Amino acid sequence: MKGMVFTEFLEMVEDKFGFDTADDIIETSKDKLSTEGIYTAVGTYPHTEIITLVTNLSTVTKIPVPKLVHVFGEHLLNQFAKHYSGFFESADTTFDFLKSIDNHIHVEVLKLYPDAELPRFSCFHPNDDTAKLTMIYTSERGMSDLASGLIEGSIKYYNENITYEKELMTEDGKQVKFELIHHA
Amino acid sequence: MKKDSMKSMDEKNDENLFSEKRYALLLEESRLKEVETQKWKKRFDRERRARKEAEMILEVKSRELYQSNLQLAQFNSELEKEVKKQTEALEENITSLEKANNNIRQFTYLASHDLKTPLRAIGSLIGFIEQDLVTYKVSEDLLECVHLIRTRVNRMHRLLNSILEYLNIGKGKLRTEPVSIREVVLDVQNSLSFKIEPQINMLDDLFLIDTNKNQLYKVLKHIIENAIKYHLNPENAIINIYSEKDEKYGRIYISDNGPGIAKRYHDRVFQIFQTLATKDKNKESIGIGLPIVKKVIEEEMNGKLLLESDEGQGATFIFCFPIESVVEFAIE
Repeated sequence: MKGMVFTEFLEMVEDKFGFDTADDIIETSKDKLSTEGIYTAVGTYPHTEIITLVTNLSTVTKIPVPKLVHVFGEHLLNQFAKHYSGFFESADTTFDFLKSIDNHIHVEVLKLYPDAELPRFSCFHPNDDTAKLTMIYTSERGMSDLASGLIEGSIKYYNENITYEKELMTEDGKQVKFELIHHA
Repeated sequence: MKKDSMKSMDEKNDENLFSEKRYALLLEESRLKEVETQKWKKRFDRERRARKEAEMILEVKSRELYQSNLQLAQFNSELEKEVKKQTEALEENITSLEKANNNIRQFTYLASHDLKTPLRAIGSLIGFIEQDLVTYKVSEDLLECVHLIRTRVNRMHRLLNSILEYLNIGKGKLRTEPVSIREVVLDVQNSLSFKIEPQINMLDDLFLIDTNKNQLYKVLKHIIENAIKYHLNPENAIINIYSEKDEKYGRIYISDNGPGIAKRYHDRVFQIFQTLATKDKNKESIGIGLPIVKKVIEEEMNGKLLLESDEGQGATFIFCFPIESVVEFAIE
């Protein structure tokens, strides 16, 4: 998993729960973390480590893991928008942006990180209805809560009246359908 | 009792004073601690920003690297395309040149072949005329003219045969076997038809080479015959034959004490129809012997023919074979 997910996660924890909490969730599982909790945005680390960190955070804060991951997704989207504003400016709407992830953004990511294992976001308009967008999330990581956080972050970024529903397509959550509806 | 209570009041006041002081101290301590924490936070934040800056630089550089790699790959593929194009053009040229060459060869072959038939007829007719002229006792001049015509016809016949021979070199795969150079030289010596007995010295054992015996005979015979034919005093001709080998080549040297060939003519002697002027008309050459020898050596014996000579220095023809063709031990 890309290092930026780790660095942004820890930064979010520091901002929202304090430095001590960030320390706690690392120190608790130090022996399970390949780099002892030292991450850089340009590195790549085992995705199990983010799960360990989130689980520890959930234990400390008593907030359920899915909720934490979802909130982190929103936070991550804001950070992406700050660091990679070009991708956001080249799309005018949430739908345009979500459609550009597979075809454009991940293509660029792979140029810099050819070995990155990226989730797939295949999008289509059901019945050619442009007010609706179906997005199929596919990833071996099964982190659809992160995806829903990112989707919600995008909707807020473009400030549109969009609601969505999430439906697991496989039990392990490795394939999940998001159905988004744009309300006029 | 009163005194006691007074005392305790004082003590209480003292205690209050103490706790106020302590509180102030604690407050100050915590303020200092907070200042210290803020200082460390600032330092930490500076480091974090430095890390992010470094990560950003790394990404920018990676992107630049990716772009330049892409350009390089593009340039490379364009270059490859260009090379391919050039190679194709070159191959096309080679093919058309080969075609043209084959056409010329074919034409020459057919022309030479077809010219032989009428020439043979002319030869026969001249024979009849000569017989008749002898019968009718015509003048010596006329006889001489007819005789000259016959020699020209014969010469033309030889010329056509040589051209056909030249064109046929390298067309078929010849059988090879270990051939003793010494034996071939002796065969050549026995077959010579000069009035004089030339002096041919074999200076060493010479070696055996894996080649076609007839071709080696043809080559050696031609070089030895030339050495005698073009010697100013054939009765004094001395031909030395010796051999040498190194890691790459086996060499046979055929060296004579004749008039030699000036360096400026070295290329010419191996070119077809190029002759060197001689004073003696009987030694008139048609200029195809050495080109045939060279072609046989190169195309049928996988060897090379070199010449070392200068005017008045005699001539040495060097026949080089790849060392793989040299057979080390004589087979008895």
